[in-house]
Amino acid sequence: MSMKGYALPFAAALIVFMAGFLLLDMVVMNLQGLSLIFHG
Amino acid sequence: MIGARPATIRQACVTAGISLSLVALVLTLADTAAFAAYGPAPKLTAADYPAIAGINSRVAVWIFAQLHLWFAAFVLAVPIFVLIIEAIGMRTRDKRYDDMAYEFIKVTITAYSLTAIQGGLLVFSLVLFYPDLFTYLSTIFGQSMFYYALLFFAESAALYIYYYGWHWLQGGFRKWLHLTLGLILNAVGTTLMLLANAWLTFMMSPAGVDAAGIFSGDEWAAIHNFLWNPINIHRFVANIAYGGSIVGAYAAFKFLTATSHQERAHYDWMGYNANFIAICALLPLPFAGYYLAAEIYAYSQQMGITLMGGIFAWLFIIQAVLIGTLFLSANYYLWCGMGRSDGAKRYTKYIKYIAIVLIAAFLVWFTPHTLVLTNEELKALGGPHHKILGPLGIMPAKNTAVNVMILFTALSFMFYRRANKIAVVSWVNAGNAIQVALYTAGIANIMLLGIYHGYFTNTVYKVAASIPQVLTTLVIIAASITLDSFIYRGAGKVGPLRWGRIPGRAQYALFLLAVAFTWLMGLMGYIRSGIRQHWHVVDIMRDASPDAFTPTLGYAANVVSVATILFMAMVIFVFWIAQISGNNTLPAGYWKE
Repeated sequence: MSMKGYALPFAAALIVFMAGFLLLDMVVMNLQGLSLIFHG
Repeated sequence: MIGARPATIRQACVTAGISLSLVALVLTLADTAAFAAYGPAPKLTAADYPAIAGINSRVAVWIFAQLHLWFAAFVLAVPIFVLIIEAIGMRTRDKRYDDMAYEFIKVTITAYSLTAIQGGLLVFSLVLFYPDLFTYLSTIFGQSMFYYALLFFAESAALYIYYYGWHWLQGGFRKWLHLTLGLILNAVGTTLMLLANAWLTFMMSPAGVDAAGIFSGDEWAAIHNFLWNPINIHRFVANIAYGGSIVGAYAAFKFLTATSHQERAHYDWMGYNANFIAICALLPLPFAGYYLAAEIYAYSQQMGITLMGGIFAWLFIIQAVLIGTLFLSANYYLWCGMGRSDGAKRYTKYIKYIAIVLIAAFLVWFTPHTLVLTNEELKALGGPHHKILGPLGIMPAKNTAVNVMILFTALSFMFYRRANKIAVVSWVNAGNAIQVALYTAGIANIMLLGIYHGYFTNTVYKVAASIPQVLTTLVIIAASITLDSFIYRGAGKVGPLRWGRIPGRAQYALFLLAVAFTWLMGLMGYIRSGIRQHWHVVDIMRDASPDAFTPTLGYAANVVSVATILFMAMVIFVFWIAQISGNNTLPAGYWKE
């Protein structure tokens, strides 16, 4: 598989999805009155 | 079929007879209740519990209640997906769907009579062994019990017209009429389940009564108690998964006893659809269960701690083993089923990796937190927790494991769906790369939430992080199915699917699915009921019977296992009845010409 045909879409999608999931985590934790990062 | 009808009509008469008896009983009790002023919940003594020599009241009620629940779950669930399959058949005009839906409903007819019989036995044993409890409950739920009995008539009528009218109501408007009957059947069946759920959840989280148990007169308040909806959701989803597994076992039974390739192909297709239904409902089931457990905690910390941190915690280890069994057997069936397509060889190389991940997640899922050890073992280990494996015993590890198991089951299913397709879109490589990125990012997120919030924060964060974990899983499944539908738009086929080309051992995976589901429901049902401990109605009405104690886990597991064997024996009877209903004997020379 070529770099252009597979690796680039994979890297781009991975960044987008990771950002998306982190955003989801942040929103859901905020809705519960918490932050994503724990401050002891 | 003709030979089967008188038998089924007799079953209908049995069902109607039991319904009449129940109506009479409830009318009498409701009538008594209506004229009595609402008093406090009775304070009972051991003398208030009639006994029959040689019969343990609790075990009798326990087994009848459990058998009734299994059959009820089955007969309520099957019409739901029968209606959907029939609608698919109507929409696609593929008669195979209509025939399959008919065969599914045929199996439930005998089971329906058994449900009514078990329900009758349960009511009579409650009246006989726990008369004060039954009177107290019927004082509060008199109206709903009365309508329950009437609805049972409606359910029977709808079911019998739906079944017997199947071939009569075919084509055009008649088919719509038949579907409407199916809809009515399901609406009535679901209402029956909701009413029965209200009675049992009232015993766990009573409402509409004061601290002494004096009923306010508002029956809706008693029905709409704190745990009613969590149980409703959990049971609705679980019933569908259970119904799918039982008809899957029926299809497996028919596959193994089939004498022609055509028959094997038909029952292979039926088994695949049943397994598909079971998996679809199985995937959201852990979340429904988690929601129910969280609500139990929210209602009563004491019940919550008894549930998973107290005596019943070890049954959850057995539960974990059984749930793992469900996932492994469902996946195994899918992998075997890939052999139906010549294109499956492109994906078989990935199966071993899925199996490794599933087994690893399964091991984490059932790793106990605190071990049962002798003094010597405790000394050797340095405490009740294993140094390396101990951290896997807490909920964040288990939540992570179950989400991973669900995702890899979805992955198995994706490979199965792809096995016979050839994508024709120009961006197939990019599409596959996006799929891999989706799963990679999602699983990384689930692991991050599980490890970071599970081990480096406090309990509030641990519990809160389970929600984005669940949502991540749901997002991955939804996005993956959507993306695949675009990748395989206008896809070609490798070849015709060879239904019937599946090893016999795959059918045993379907049997395993049905047995594991049954046993699991029995054990978890016991826990749900057992967390009331020495209360008939929590904090309101105390159990003063000689059996008002929590039995050992071994004893409870034995009772549930005996009930499971009884139920499976009756299910085999149901399959056999369905089998002989299709047999015709033409005795030469027996009848006059």
